[in-house]
Amino acid sequence: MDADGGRACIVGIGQTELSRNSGRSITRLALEALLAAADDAGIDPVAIDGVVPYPDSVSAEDVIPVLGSPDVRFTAVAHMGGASSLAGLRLAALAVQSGQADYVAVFLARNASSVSRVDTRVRQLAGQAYRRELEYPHGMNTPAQWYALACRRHMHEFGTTREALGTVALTMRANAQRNPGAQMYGRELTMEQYLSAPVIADPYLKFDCCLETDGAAAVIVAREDRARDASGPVVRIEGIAEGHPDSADDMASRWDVFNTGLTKAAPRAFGLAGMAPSDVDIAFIYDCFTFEVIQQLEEAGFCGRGEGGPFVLDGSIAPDGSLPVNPHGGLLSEGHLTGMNHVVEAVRQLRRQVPDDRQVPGVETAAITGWGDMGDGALALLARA
Amino acid sequence: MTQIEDLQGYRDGLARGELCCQLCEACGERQWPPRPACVHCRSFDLRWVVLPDSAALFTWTVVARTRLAGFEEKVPYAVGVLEYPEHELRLVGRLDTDPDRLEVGERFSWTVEPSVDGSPQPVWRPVAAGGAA
Ligand SMILES: [Zn+2]
Repeated sequence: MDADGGRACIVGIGQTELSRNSGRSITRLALEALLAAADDAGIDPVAIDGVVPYPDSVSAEDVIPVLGSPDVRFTAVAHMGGASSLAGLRLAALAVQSGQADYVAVFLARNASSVSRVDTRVRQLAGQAYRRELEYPHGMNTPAQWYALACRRHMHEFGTTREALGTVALTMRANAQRNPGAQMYGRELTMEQYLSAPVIADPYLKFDCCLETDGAAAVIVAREDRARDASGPVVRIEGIAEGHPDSADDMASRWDVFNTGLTKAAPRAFGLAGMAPSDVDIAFIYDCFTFEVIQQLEEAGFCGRGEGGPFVLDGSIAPDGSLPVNPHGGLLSEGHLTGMNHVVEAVRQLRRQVPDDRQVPGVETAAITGWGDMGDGALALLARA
Repeated sequence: MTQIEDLQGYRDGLARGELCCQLCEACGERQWPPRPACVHCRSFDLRWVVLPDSAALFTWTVVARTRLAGFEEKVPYAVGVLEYPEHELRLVGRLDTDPDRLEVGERFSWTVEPSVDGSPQPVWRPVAAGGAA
């Protein structure tokens, strides 16, 4: 993704604490993360002349007055559910490369634990008439239920096991024990506890499901030539792409249920970066539910379709495996900032700014997946400059 | 002028006790979910036809926790995806059966009955258990 002033880079990151109850407004949370990201980038917040918010939450207009730019030149919103964080990062990269803005802030803020839980948030997603008339009357209204359908089918077609799902949950929880900022820090999880937890939507048990979180995260994107003042090594966006599944507004009717947005986005992102899945040192997988990790490992190309279960069971995603996944604990055990926390941790890992016990050694490249709505997807490939 | 909503024909079918999908007059394909135009040929010339009595279970979930009005007391209950391979159609349906004994490929048939809010909705029961196969 070259342009005159170099590639689009992430030059600043900021994140609030992750909690069950922040005790303050989402606009304030957003500003805390944005100002921390500006500080990390070594810029005056007034230099932020592009703002990309997460859909259906704090808007660009809500934060511009405090950030202080007299002339914000670029705003845009990607409506891709949980994939909006990466889709927004892509919009920011395109904006700085085309010269539409110099410093673009991408952010998310939510009080998803204390105020707006998932069954209310999904009323803003695509295909509302279908949800309202073709799913709610049958007792279905949450992502856990939608994706449980795909998980059950994967178990049927490929023999994916309960133990594979549990391995994803336990790996994320173990990772969170090395992250004092994680919501599940200090709360270890055994396979026995995993298996005996209550059912949410079979096959999903309690610990197959991500956390609900209050908090905010932000990153600042600029061209490489503007990154001099950043506090850490510059992190390049080598390739980033979004993708939309067939029947993008309805999952149940999709004829190839596993062919999702990520299936289409991944080859585009790898092509842009000139990379292959085997070139990725560490992966941040959008772990809204355990099975979606397995599915996305497959669809991003880290293993073949149907091989995701064995891939996680043999330890590949553990910190010492061939592809460490979500060393911060992910959405399952760090907290759920719709993947913006994945971007923040990816930058920290590439800068080698995390404590030794959490740092994946020798990390030069990172992949981040996004997953949202009815299977929208995105893939970002980052590298140390 | 009154706007005709894209799902009106589906609602009208349920009111008659029928589960309907769209049939394209231009290319002859059926489609689900209902849309303003045909996804195969983009024609707006669609009419509503009754779906066959029975379909095969493609996948399912058993909902054990919900805050959805009218369903809180029904847990655990099964919701499935029913498949008509001959038309490449799959749709979501509530399964009125033992949620512990579900199997992919099992045949279910639909009837239209009052739902939790009183509206007519399809309910699916195993064909072997006396459904209208
Ligand atoms: Zn047609």
